[in-house]
Order: sequence, then C-alpha cells, then structure tokens
Amino acid sequence: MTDQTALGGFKILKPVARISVVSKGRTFPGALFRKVAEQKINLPYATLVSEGDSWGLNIVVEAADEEKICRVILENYGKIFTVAPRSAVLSLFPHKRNPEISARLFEAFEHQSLEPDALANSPSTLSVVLKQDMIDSASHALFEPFTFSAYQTPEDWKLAQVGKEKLYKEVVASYQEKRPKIYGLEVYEGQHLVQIKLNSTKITHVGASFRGFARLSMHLTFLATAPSHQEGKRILAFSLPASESEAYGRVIKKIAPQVDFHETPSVSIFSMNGPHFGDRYGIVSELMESLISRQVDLLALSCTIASITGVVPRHQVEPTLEAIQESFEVPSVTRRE
Amino acid sequence: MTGKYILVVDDDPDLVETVAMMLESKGCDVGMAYDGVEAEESIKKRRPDLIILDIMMPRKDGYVLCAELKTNPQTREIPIILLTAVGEAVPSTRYSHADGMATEADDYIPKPIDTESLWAAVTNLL
Repeated sequence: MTDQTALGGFKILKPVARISVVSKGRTFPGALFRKVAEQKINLPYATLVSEGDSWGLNIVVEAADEEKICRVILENYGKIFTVAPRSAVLSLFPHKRNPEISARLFEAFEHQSLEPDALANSPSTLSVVLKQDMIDSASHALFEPFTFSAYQTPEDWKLAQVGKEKLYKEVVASYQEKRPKIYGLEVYEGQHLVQIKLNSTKITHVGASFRGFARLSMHLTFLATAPSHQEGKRILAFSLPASESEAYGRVIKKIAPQVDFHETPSVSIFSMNGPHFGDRYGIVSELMESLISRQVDLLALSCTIASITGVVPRHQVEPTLEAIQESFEVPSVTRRE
Repeated sequence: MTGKYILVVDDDPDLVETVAMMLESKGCDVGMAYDGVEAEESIKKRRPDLIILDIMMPRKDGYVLCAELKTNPQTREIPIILLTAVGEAVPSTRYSHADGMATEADDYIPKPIDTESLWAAVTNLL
C-alpha cells in the first residue's frame, strides 16, 4: 500500500478486564470513583457519558483488580455492571486530533472483522478496548494503513516491547505527591458534543463519517464510547467545532442515515495531562469530587494514557477550571478555539 | 526561536504532545520520538538544534542515549535537556534527579515538569 500515514507507535496493555456500568443519579460516577480509589485500584482506562438522567461507564482495570472492582460495585450498587475479562487496550499515537486517523483505524479493523468493545482518545492517543484474543490480528491490521518509524513489522514491534511493563510499574507505584501536578491544562471552546446511539451498527461502520470530518478539516477534541441505558446499545460521543455543525450533520446523515444522533450545543472541552494520570488510582476521583463541589454538570469524560479529558457546558467552564486549580497544581491554562 | 528544530523524546505520548504544542506555539519546529532507539534514528535523519530527553524509556534509556550523543563528535554540541524522574514525588527510583545531574546533559528538569520552566531552559540554551 502506498497511501500510508506515518505515526509514532502503539502500545498494548494486557491482560485487563472491562467493566461496563449503567446507573442513574447526578453524583453516581463521583461516588463510584471514590470507592474505587479507596481500594487503590488503578484505572488505565475509564470513560463516562451522560445520557439524560443516567450514566454509562466503561472502566478498564488490570486483570489482578477485576475481582476487587466487581466486589466494590456489587456491595455498593448491586449487579449494575457487566464484565469482559481477558481484554486488552491498544493505544495508537499520535492522532493529532485528526479524524482521518480514527477513520483509517476503523477501516483497517473492519477489513479484519475486528470490532472494538470501547474506545476513547487522549490528546495524543486513540485507545481501543478489544478482546485479548484479537490483539495479534489488531496489531497486524495497524501495519496496513500506518507506518511506524521505530518498527517496520509486527515482529519488530513485539521486540520493542521488552521491559516496558516493568519500567512503568516501577514509577507508577511510587508517586507520592501531596497535590497532583498537571503538565498542561487545555480548554477548547466553541464545541458541540455529538452522541450517536449504536444499535446493531458497528463502531467501525460509523468510522466512515470520520473520514468526512477530516475532509472538512475538523479537529476531534473528544472521543469516547459508553454503554447506553437501553439494553444492548452503545453510545459513541465526540466533539466537533460548533461552527461546523451543519456540515458535520450532513456528513453523518449521508454516511449513516439510519443512526440516531443527538447534539448538545455549546460545550467546552478540558484536557489535563499529568504524570501517569491514566495509571494511578485516585486521580479521576479527585477530579470528580472537585467538579461536584463546584456543581459542574459533567457531560462526558475519558481517562486514558496520561490524560483526563472532560466535556462541560460552556457556561460552566470557569467553575470547572477553578475546581481543577483547587485540587491540582496547574502551571498554566491554554485556551483554544 | 522561529525555525529552531527541537526533538522531544519521551515514552509518554501525551507528555510529548503537551511539550510539542507548547514549543510549536512559540514558533519552533518539533520532532517527536517515543524511545531512545527511535530518537537515535530521528537524529540521523535530521540534526536537531536541541533535544528534550526523558531518562526512563524502554529499549534505550535517556542516560545511555545522552552519553552516546555527548561522546560522538558529530552530536556532542547538540544541547540536551534531561527530564529526570523526580525527587519528591517519586522518591525511590534509579532514575532520580541526582542521578540525572551526574550525566553530561546541558540542563536538567525534574518531573513532573512545568512547561514554563522547560521553555526558560530551552531559551537559555538556544
């Protein structure tokens, strides 16, 4: 293939378990994440999306923590979750907020009949949650649309992974900050949050829309999936520039006319990157508690790699920033349109 | 600083992105690499004006790469800012700030980094 995109690389985290939770109540996610933090369970991947008065969450934990987190949820809330053991998280970087990267990934997966169970992006990385037995096919599939300067083949990539896991666990286990520090806090204004309800429609089919967004030079500042309160359905949530709402609406209707999509206008996206934020227990809980204390109505959130990205109503962006600055050490805030 | 080419090397892609965005906003041209071996390849292809180098990376860590670059006559003049793993927040690691300062790097920034301090260090060396 000649038309390949050069990327930096990809990582795979396994073995992990994906826990999907649906529940109601404004403070539910904050309370759940606090209980998870109390048990010192690391969250390498977590997403939540509000849907009316309910919340859909996908939480990924290391396999060793599967039993512990299930017990926490069961004891406090009952059987409101499903578990997908033997899962893996594949993270591809950097996406440069370009929807073309997501589209190419979805297309490559579709060619191999691979369907992600969940996905989310951080400022640099697109993470997909898959069944662990799909990982070999998935990593091979990446070499169709993408090239990586550090490895030319899946075999090269495997060799490059030696020692990585030990290295990251060495540091993650040892953070002892009194007040977590953020490397960068960015705010994107003038966005709309789009939610597509996926019935039998696969995520990879909707991926064609992302190529349409890329053709219109739109930047994707937030992307996450979550389970819907309607059984068997999933929500694909993403943000696009408000100024392009007519154009992206046309793209979605043209490519996937049957999908049910909903827009929340006038939202802001905040993205905070800190040392191993995606691997350390308590970071999401700290953020959620600070937002609740300022009565911020969080609409969606993702925590992957080393970042947390959240969506809030535009008029609540100032209390959001105040809340973050109260709980975290923030050297500077960068605002972007 | 417009047109200066800076190579950012760290195995945390989100940190690379944060630092790259900061440098690009100041007019720098930015290259990215995610481990020591990839950085080495990148330097062969295009000589950077400065390297921001994490120490704790797979395949080839920042200590080894820094030592190699500083002993090679073709690369020893390239300024290197080493990102060291912290004193206070991460007290027990072989990648401590003190160990980082024992290298021949031109400057040392402890993690968690402050992008303002990093920019001050960059402007000081270029």
